[in-house]
Amino acid sequence: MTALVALVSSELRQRRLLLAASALLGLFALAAPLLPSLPAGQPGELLAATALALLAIWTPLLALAAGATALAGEMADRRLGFYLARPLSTWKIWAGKMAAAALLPLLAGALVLLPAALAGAPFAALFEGAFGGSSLLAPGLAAAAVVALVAFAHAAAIALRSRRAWLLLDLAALAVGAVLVAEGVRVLRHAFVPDAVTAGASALTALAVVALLAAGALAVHRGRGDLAAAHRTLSLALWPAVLAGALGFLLFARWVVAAPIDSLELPRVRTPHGRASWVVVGGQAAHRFGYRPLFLFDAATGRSVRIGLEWFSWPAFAADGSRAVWLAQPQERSQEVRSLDLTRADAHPRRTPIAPAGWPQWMELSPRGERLALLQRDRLLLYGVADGRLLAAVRLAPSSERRLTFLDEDRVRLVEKQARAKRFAVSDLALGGRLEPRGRFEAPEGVRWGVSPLGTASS
Amino acid sequence: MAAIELRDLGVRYGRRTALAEVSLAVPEREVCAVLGRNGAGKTSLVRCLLGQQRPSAGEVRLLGEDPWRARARLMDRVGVVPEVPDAPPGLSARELSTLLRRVHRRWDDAAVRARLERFDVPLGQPFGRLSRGQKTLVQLALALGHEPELLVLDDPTLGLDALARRAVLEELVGELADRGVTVLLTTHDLAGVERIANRVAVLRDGRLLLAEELEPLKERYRGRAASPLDVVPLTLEEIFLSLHETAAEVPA
Amino acid sequence: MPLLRIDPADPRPIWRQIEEGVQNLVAARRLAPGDPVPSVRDLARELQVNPGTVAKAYQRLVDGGILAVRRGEGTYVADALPKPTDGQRTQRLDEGAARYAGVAATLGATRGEAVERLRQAWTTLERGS
Repeated sequence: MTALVALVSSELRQRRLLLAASALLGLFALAAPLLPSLPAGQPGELLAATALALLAIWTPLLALAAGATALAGEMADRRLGFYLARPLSTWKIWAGKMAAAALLPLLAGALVLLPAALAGAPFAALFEGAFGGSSLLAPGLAAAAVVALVAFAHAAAIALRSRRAWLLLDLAALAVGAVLVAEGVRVLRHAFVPDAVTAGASALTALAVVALLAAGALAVHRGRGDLAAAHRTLSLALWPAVLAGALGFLLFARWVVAAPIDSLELPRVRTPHGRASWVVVGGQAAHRFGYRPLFLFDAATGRSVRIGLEWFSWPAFAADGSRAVWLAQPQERSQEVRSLDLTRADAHPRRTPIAPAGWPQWMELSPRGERLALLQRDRLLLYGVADGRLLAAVRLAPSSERRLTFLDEDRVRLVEKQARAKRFAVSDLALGGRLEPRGRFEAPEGVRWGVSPLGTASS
Repeated sequence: MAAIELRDLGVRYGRRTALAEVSLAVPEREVCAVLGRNGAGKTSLVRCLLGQQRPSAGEVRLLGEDPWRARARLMDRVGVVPEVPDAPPGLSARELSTLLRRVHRRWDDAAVRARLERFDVPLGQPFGRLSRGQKTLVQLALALGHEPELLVLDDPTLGLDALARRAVLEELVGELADRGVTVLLTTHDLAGVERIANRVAVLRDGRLLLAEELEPLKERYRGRAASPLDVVPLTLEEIFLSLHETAAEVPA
Repeated sequence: MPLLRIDPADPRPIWRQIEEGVQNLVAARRLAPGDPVPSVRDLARELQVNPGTVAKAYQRLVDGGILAVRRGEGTYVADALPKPTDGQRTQRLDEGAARYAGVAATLGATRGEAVERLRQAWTTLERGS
């Protein structure tokens, strides 16, 4: 222990000039409110902000520099022999150097803040409400970030300064890891589970920092004076852990979006108008970071099919119960219509050729499930489900208050509430035809309304 | 028991062979000089010996232990003077001694200071700003502070002026007389080392040409003269040079 | 002991150079019986040779009766110097004479000149300067 303390203090002693520079930098912050070009008023907050800005630049710089020079530089310059020729274990040498490299930016940070704090800068006020109101969380996070930076700089410096082809392997592994993580993030973003992204990324970052520290220590232990051997050890220790972590993140993402139907908490169940035994079940999956999937569930057989997100993919059913279609989002910016044959027990969701350009406001399936009516903001479209052929299209005035229903296989009824009026207009669209007005009626303001399968509006 | 024992030591860097099949034993209290030109493998040998590098082949025993595994423990019994001074440049000799006092189990701070004063090295000046000779003298004083049983010196007189070289050799002789340390040193300074070494090893291109006691070796060279006009090597330097001539053979 | 010099190029081993050097100093009375000689450590330091080498030379000198060790005090020139055996004496006289004759002949000295120089050296030695 004495040896470790001696090592740390001698390291800090060697860098005392940097600490002195930090103290000067802190004094410089005191002068900031006196500068004429800065806005007057609230000099306290200006002082605090200046000191924190200096801290935010100075501390990471020091952490990177200290981490990069602490051991890798000495190994490259063959100066590590001084410590290796003494009764110090490699772990102790590593721990002493790393601790000093982490302490230096932290001490420097404290020195930068000290003059402003003594002058009464309201640091606490700047963070009010942030970090859950805990006064220890901000310094704790800063310390963790410094350790992470030091560990990263140490490993990067070993890899860069050894000047070996292993660096290419490192970059390849880094690329593979980045691809795995990006895929995991894509999966989670696509399923709209930001909490899972945060949780997974935090765990992955923590794992990466631990792996960097462990691999750096191992590199010093096995490499000693030989930077090339250190680099090899580092890569062999680091990448399996990091890549396993990245793969774990991807598997975690897939696990989140693979929540089964029985994991739903307080599921919302909706029975379709059709005659099939299928119901729609949606809700928040338990322990899946807020993921809200949507399922089609066959009450007769107990089979469930995941069809998308609860608030996005509510399906339309054919009145005879033979088919359900819904809007899926295979990519972030594109939609497609998928369909499921409800009459066959072994049917799987299929992509239909229908690819709507915009986001439909309303979607309705014909009684036998052969046609699909899509209501967009400014048009009404009628498709054949099997071949995706556009059977009719009419342009509409932009409005959001519209409902649809199929009167039979070939006719759609559209009910519109006219803007800023209590009046409703009813019109029909037949295959290949135009929109034919069918009548108007009035209803009191503020009613909730829908359209029955027979085409009558109800409130 | 031999203080140093190398058995079939081999070191490779990728495809380049730095050392191959080097076997060497140095008994306790002996002074062994390892001679070789630059790149002959002297530094690799020293680094393996000190547990700073893992041999690619063979076995190393330092005071009876494997230095790669037991390095930290062994270094309380071994003093090292490196080829290139490697003490932290920002610390003064006084600060270095203070640091090492807390690192070693025993440390004679007073003796280190007395030595440095004898060497005329300023105690308060940062190591990085000392002259080359002063740096080596500081490293020597720091290598002796824990009274090691074994001293390993990697070309200790390289780049030193006559005065500093004399100081280094005198200090070594003093340690030999007072405490009976074992010494392994690599060197270019053949004349200087000839007087204190009683054993030599010669490396050429990573291979050991010979390793034996100095006196019998010289005796054999002398006995080789066939006629009074034959030129036979008489000094270590001449033996070393003759070994590096083509087709030179060590007399049996 | 300023007259003792070591030459690595001398074909004799270093311990032999020290042994013979001390013998010569004693023979020339530069070291008188009872005089202290430097410790092994000091002489080794002075000559920058391995102390073991000095110790070996001293041991042979003690064995030959030229030096004596007084326990706890140090090493001295023996009070009663041994007479070398006739054979040893003749051999070493002959060796020295041959060496000198060789040097003198190489330098082109005449026999008379060489003998005269020897006589002068002898006188100098006796005067002890």
